[in-house]
Amino acid sequence: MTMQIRIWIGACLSTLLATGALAGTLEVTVLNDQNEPVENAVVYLLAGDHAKPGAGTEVIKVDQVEKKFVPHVSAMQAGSSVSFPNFDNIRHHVYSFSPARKFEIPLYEGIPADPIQFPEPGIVALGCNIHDWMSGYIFVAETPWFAITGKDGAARIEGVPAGPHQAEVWHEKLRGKPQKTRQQVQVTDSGATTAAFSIRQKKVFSAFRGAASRGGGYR
Amino acid sequence: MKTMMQKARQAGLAGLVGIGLATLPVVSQAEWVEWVGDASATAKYRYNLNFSDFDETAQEDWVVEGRASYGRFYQAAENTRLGIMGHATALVHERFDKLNGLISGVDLVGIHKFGLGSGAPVLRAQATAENLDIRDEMRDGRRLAGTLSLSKRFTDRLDGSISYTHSQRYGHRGNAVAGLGGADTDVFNHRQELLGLSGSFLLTERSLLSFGYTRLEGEFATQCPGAGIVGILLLNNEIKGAAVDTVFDETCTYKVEGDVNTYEVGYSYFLDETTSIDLGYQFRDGKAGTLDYTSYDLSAGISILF
Repeated sequence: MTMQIRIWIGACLSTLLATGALAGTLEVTVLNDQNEPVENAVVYLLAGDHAKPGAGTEVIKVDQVEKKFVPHVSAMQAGSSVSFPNFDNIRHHVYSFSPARKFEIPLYEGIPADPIQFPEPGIVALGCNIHDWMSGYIFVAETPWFAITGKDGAARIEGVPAGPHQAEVWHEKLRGKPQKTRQQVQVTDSGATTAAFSIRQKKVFSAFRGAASRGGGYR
Repeated sequence: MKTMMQKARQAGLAGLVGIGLATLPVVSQAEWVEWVGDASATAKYRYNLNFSDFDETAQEDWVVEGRASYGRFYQAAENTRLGIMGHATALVHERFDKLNGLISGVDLVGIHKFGLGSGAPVLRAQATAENLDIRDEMRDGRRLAGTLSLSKRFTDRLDGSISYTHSQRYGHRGNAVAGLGGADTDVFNHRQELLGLSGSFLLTERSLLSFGYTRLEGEFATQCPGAGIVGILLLNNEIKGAAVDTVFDETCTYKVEGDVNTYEVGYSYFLDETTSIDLGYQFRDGKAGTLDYTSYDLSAGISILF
């Protein structure tokens, strides 16, 4: 095969991938060891031979509403940014100590001027220095192929390049590392591929607001 | 040698100065930031609520307590806030209705957090002034108190705090007990110092176990059925005052100086983020000279945060 033909085939494949012609859908359910659906679990695909995406560019929002992070769990691709609008009529002080992205937005109201960029994949736990019970998570994926489960434990990832992929699940109460949930899925371009995950959950003692206030905190 | 209370008092003063200094570099957007409030309704069974030295004269009663507080915080610096709160507690007794009343007051609060995150220690200084409006006139009065506490969350489940309180209660004079005409009748004028240790442990995300110990040193009132023994104790300088008590069957209430150790344990179950059902047990062991008495409370209630 000549170099020109190889380039032509490569260009055609790239075009097909970009237009989604060779893309499929992955439908996933996540259950716990009691066979109950798990809400707010992040299902994601790892980068591999069939999936080498560029960096994310989107800007998502994590609101603060009635002294809570909304949504409680967000997911995005590494390289993307997060805006933290404060819809409460009080000031919040958002921070993260997580190795994946340490940051702090000191006391503020309204919408901070600059979104925070998250260049590295990982799990970022959020807190508010004024209201210790506030907690939230941002899952920073290495690929654009991820989804968050709903109350029924189901999630749907669309636009996945057809082919074999490694899929994992993360949840704030996951017992063990996400790598232990890893399974191979074969995504096809005809119909949806299904996969089921069963995860073990640990007790996570994120205090209720009232309980946190009892401890003599900063309330 | 300095007593534990003296050391606590010095630490308290140092803490107040610390909060003052921390507040000096005021942030440019310093402003009123947040309204906060809470309310609770509690039913209590109180054994020996008259703190009698004699088991046979210990009185018991059921009390319903309604409490509310509401106030506002001013963010003075990034990690420092000041607050002003109003509070009120209504007391309704089943048997001894002369103890019914309304306690209301104002709290001035300064809070400083040493750093970022839920594990950072928090220093809190509070000044309280309150009015005690009790049906029994002798128990009416005012109370002034200053409290300094340091708290810290050690893990996601465990937190603890240490506190020091200086309290001064100003009561009304009562009627002199027959045969004890020379004794002071200001039995509800109390100067007290309290050192407290407390903590809480999350059993589940919704349920909280709390525990505490408080040592009180200073004056407090107790009660006995007759003037005879009080006269003897007055001669021994163990009693600092005595007055006729009309709440407990025309007997005698007297003031002593001693110490009271209070141990308490509580359990709270949170129905939602802000509402909890609370159960509690509190045991007191008081000593003043040769006098020695114990009492306890059992309580059940509901609390809500705003």
